[in-house]
Amino acid sequence: MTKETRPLSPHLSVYRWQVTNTLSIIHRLSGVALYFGSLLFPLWIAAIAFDGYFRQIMLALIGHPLSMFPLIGLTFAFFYHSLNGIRHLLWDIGKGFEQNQVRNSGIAVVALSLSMTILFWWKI
Amino acid sequence: MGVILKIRRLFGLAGFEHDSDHWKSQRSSAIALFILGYWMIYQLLFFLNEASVSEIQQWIAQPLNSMLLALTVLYTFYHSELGLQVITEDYVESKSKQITILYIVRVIRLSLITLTIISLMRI
Repeated sequence: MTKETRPLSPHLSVYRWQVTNTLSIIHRLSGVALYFGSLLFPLWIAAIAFDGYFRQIMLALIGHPLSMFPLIGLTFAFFYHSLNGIRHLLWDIGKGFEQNQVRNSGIAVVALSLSMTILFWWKI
Repeated sequence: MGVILKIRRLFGLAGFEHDSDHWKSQRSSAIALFILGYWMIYQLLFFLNEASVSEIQQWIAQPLNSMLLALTVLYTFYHSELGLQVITEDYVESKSKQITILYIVRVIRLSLITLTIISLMRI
């Protein structure tokens, strides 16, 4: 394998932290978190389908009081990533690119995803 | 681009995508997953939150639920792989390590898709 000489893309350590790039990196982090969380999704379906120890272990794991914290984190990651995704799709069609629009829509997404997470866990 | 290739990509049975193919697939899978994800949230809030195992089995036994659940899993891992591919290419310097990571992600994806389909067919 030849070693690539091009520099690694987003140099996180050299940017000044501001709303826009913080939200951008949270989009990636929440995506990675959602990937690891979604590994549980097929396991949950299998636990419903197959009787036995596997079901007992899975349901005990999901139902454990301490599991609530990572699950709350995952629901926040879902709401954040899905809402922030709308911003990305709007940028792709050239909308919302003014500096104040980018900032305000970012703050709106954070506020909305936090309140949706609270509503979800209050209702469930 | 043929529709058969698109279906194979959704099932993880096609090569890794690049450039404009990757770009378009990432966006179309995002839109599909947005709809499916909020369908799942709705079901969790209003049907599955207090359901017993047998009630969840009855819920899955409905053809529409079964189909949408399978599509949610397929699109979840399709969209995840496309995203992880970008992150890997951005942060992992060595090309061979990038490929190793992508293959591990693909093997996990194929295993979990298989598990999902087998499980749904048993219910």
